[in-house]
Amino acid sequence: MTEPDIWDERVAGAIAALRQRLTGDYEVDEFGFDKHLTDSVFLPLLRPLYRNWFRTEVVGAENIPTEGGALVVANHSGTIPLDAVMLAVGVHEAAQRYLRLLGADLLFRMPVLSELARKGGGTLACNPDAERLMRAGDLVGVFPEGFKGVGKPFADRYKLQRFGRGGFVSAALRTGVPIIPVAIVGAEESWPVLAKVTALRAFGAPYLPIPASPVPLPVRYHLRYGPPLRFAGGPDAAADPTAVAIAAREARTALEQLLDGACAARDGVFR
Amino acid sequence: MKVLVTGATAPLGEAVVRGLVAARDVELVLAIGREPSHDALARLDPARLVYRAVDLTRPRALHDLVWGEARERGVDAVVHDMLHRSARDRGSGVHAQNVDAVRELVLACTDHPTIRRFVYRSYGEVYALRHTTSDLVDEEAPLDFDPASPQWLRDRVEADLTVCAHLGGPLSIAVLRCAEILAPGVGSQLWDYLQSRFCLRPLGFDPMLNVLSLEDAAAAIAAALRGSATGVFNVPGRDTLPLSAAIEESGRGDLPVPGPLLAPLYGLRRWLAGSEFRYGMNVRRFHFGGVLDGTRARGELGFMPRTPVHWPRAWWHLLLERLGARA
Repeated sequence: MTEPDIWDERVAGAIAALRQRLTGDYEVDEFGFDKHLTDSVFLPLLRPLYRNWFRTEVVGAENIPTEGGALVVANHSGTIPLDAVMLAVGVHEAAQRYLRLLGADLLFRMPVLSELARKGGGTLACNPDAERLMRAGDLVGVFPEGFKGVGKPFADRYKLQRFGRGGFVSAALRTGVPIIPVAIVGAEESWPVLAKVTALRAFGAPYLPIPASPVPLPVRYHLRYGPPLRFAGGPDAAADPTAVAIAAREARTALEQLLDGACAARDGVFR
Repeated sequence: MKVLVTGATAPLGEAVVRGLVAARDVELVLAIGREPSHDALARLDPARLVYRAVDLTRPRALHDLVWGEARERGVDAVVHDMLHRSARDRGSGVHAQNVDAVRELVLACTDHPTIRRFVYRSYGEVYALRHTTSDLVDEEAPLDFDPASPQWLRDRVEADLTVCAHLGGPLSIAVLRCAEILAPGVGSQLWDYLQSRFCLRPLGFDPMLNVLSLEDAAAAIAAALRGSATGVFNVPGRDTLPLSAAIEESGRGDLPVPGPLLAPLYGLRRWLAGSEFRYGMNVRRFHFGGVLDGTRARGELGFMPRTPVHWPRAWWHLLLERLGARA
């Protein structure tokens, strides 16, 4: 397709999307996920960042299930969690599926971010919502390190922080879906935190992050998907704290190995 | 089945009475209201409908009704929906109608010789919406015990718990926590909110809402009357949508405004226009999603919302729609 054809197609697509928007011919699910807005606005805006700015390399995309529910578990880092957004774009690029990200309550107190997160498919990181989505056959993305991952010092890059109390594992056990570990490499260096100002905080945030650069650095992102983890015991095991702890440890170990492998395999931060 | 329906002159009560009078399995409806008479009910089949004006805030009148006429007529089920609708009114009289009357009525029905079933219409607003709670609110979700809440809400929480306290007793009780009914005259905050030409909402927030039609609310009550399941049931409506879409559906202008400005602006509107809408009562649901999870009602009562709400569209919007349909 020639360059003018591509632009013709893009303009026609934009007009069609705008028309659909204005006529109200789109659906929003009970969590606020606006598939039409995601397809016509969010993904087209984020794809250049994913493809051209971060030049994301993907390994193991075949491990993303093509159908049915699954829990995608990844490491977390960066001044603001751009890694989560890139992971959602990556899953859509690789499997044409939407990743329903679980976000901290803080996110849903913040104006604009709250609205964007909901329309983009995000919901509160709590077991009832995660289980409902996975039962409905959705891919759910979770970052068990939470704020500890985002706020860790640069010296601790790619060192997994504490994994909470394994709530994410019990949700997977209860719904019987596999866990897909994903190592995200590159996010730690793309926008490291220079300082945290605790005196300036808003909307309940623990600190105001001061990034080391005005925009994220164009480091190369690597997404490495591991094979699905399935745990024995099923829903009964979800009520057993020992079984949950063992499964959480296995998921963490799998993620650590993927992370170490991805870090060792890259030639450099920007290449 | 013989049913006593309180609040029969209100839009929901009237819809319930109409449905019951039309049903084959209902022999008699004993409709209770505060007004001496009600034109719409007077037009229904007098052989199957008896209307009585009773002030349920008077314990003697309530006792005489339940243990007098209701017993003599062999009433076997009660639907209670007689809470004060307006958020403007407050005070001990309103509390007596909202809470004391419920307490007295459920007590009078317990150990009654003929009444076996008690259906109480409660409100989805009793749940505490927080940024830390799930978007989908099930029956186990925490209730709003905030002492700073307006009386309208505090009374509803208290009345709900008053009825719930009798669960497990001899009376078969179903508490229906209904989503907001979007219709005129039912005390809907959202209905009043959507009357403005421009609807202001908090900038950067577009929470999910669920609204219930009058028809579905009446259907849920009818399903609970005929069922035997006891406990608390969420009753969601068919329409689940973001606040911005609700504004759009109503043909109003959607105007996002920084959150802190909304309380004074709506306070001013209330002062100037004497409107029902209280931003303070809606501030949480205008920020955080809150959609009732109706799984239990679907499974145990067989209730499924079917009828979409009738949006409060402006007259010119309706005219354009009609002209468009004719063309």
